[in-house]
Amino acid sequence: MVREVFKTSLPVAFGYLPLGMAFGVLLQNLGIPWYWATAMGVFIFAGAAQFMAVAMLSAKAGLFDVFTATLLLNLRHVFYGLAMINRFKCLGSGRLYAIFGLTDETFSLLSTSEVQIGDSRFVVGLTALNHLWWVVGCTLGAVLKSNIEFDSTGIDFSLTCLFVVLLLEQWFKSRDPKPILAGLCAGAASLLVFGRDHFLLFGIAGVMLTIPLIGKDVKND
Amino acid sequence: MLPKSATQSKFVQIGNRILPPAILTLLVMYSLKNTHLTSGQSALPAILALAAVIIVHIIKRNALLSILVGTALYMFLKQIIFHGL
Repeated sequence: MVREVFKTSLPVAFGYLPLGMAFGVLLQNLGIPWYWATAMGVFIFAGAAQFMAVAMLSAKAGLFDVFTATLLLNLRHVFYGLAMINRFKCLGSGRLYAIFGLTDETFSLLSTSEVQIGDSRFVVGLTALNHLWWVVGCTLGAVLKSNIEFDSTGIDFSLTCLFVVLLLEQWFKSRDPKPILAGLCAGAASLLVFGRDHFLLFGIAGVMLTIPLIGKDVKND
Repeated sequence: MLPKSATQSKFVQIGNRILPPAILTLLVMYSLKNTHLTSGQSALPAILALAAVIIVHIIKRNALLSILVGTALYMFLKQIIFHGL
């Protein structure tokens, strides 16, 4: 079990550690004590939102602005939750943590993995390990600052690779091009209309609109 | 917490089937758009590395291997071959 969780989570480590470190370095460069990087990693646990929070806080933005911007940035999690209802409803006490700790990557892994739906230890364990990579990354970045010799340019491509691999796995499972086409069309439309800042949110909302259209042909089991 | 009818409704069931691949498609686009195809930089490293990931994964079906090959190739191309482009 522990091995399974670790193996599933390892690709995420390649993405979260360097990204978290980039965040820690950024925070440290603003003269903020290192433990704030740790605290933000633990309690916010959101990549883009943490970078945005730093920018907004250093521009002395109001709390309400931070609130609305963060809400808009991460509103897509509502849709992730919708797709995870059946997985999460049997989690028991770990459910609140799994909902808090859901990320793009954890969502992608959970919706592709073959592990039994009722296995709450896998879901909570994977969420926690991914969370740990992120917190360790944030902390390391803040503590080591820019004294890092290793040129990690491009290492965040691992998350792109992870998404591609999971998409291939989904394809092997269903061989149904319709959801992928729906994603491409909604993504292209969202990019044209809303630009890159809110690309994901409106892309996913666009996909939701296609559900009734595609749904007619999908077998119900 | 949620009524049974909500978790078993046709919309949620169909959504469960359609959302994961559709969202993964969007996440691939998003991660490429955001970090790798920013203006003025060559898209070749990303294209070549993506091709490698897909080929290796279709042949070996080993997620970790595919991701390592793709990331290593991308970093190599980005840092050494296409450096400064």
